[in-house]
Amino acid sequence: MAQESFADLNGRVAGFISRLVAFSIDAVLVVLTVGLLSWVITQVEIVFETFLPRDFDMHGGFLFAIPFIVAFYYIGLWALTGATVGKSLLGLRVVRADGFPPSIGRSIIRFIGYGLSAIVFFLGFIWILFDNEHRGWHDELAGTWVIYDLDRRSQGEVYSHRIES
Amino acid sequence: MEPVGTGAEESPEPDESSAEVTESGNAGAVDEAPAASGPDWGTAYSSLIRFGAGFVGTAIDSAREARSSPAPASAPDEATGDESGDDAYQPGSVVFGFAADLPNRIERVTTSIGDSTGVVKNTVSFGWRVLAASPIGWAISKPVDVVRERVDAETERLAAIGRQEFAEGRVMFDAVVDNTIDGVLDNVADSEALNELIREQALGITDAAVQEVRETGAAADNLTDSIVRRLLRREPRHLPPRPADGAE
Repeated sequence: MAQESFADLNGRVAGFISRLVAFSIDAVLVVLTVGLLSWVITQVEIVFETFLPRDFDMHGGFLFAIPFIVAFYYIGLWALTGATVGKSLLGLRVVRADGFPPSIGRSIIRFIGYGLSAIVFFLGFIWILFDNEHRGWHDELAGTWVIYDLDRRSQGEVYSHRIES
Repeated sequence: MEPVGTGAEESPEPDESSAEVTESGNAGAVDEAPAASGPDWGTAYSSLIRFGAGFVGTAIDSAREARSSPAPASAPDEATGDESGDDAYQPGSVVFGFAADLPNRIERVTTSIGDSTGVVKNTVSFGWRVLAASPIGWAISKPVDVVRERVDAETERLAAIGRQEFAEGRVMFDAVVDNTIDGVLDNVADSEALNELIREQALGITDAAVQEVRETGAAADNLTDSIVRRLLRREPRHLPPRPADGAE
């Protein structure tokens, strides 16, 4: 693909492979973060063993907190910047129809949609391959698109296209 | 057996001839060439002739020995009645006799050298032991010990100086290296232009890598999309749509 074509891709819906790579990077980051936190909690437990009550289960509490940590990572970043770390690296951005990042509500719905997409043999993710606008079930649910932002433009530059139109 | 020099004693003849040849054949060259400026062909030729004469003499000598020592060798002489012995040698037998006896000659020479070395060594060793055990040896050993102690002390003193200098040099080297590195780092830290340059370089490399990843991903997306569209018998498209084109 020529260099001009890459510039033309900006603002257009992103394809399956880029999104899969971005998702994988995010997954690795989340797993590493959770692992690191688990190690820290274990060390704290060892150091403060004598001061903690016997029936205090720090690890059980941490296991309970893991889904919230993951949700915080995805929802927070989508709502704030429109992109997680993996998506930023691949030059992708989650936007609403007006070109702005999704609100917290939409982000929460999108995160729940992740679960729904994965629950039936990841069919909701595979859907991206065949959908004309490369939208998964979570995108359909939240009313979002994932677009290319290959030149890492500022948010103002990205959204000016939508505001003008 | 006559000494090896026997053959060499016959060399005056060739020497004379060589001198004649030198004077006749190369007379002009010998006369004209100065001693210091060119090779002395006359002397070289003379030496060659001497060597040849010595070789032939040695060969004759060894052939005589080979001829006279084994008993069966004298049988033909008796049969022919020829008792002349040494005077009856032919050139062929002379050379052959020398060649046949050459290994024995070498062995004899090397053995004699080895024996003499061993004898000298043992003699010196024995003599030294006798000397050391005697009052003379005791008298000699004292000053020798004194000298040895002095040499040891001096060697130790020099080694200590060397060790000290090495340690000092190392400390100085470390100090110089530390100062240099510190100075370079300080200069780098103080220089705004250099910092900017390093930052730009680092960002440039990172940017290039990220851009490469993105472009590869986009190209893979394009390929996947075209394959899927062909499978689903959809019309091929040059670019994917924008978000607002198909919804809301």
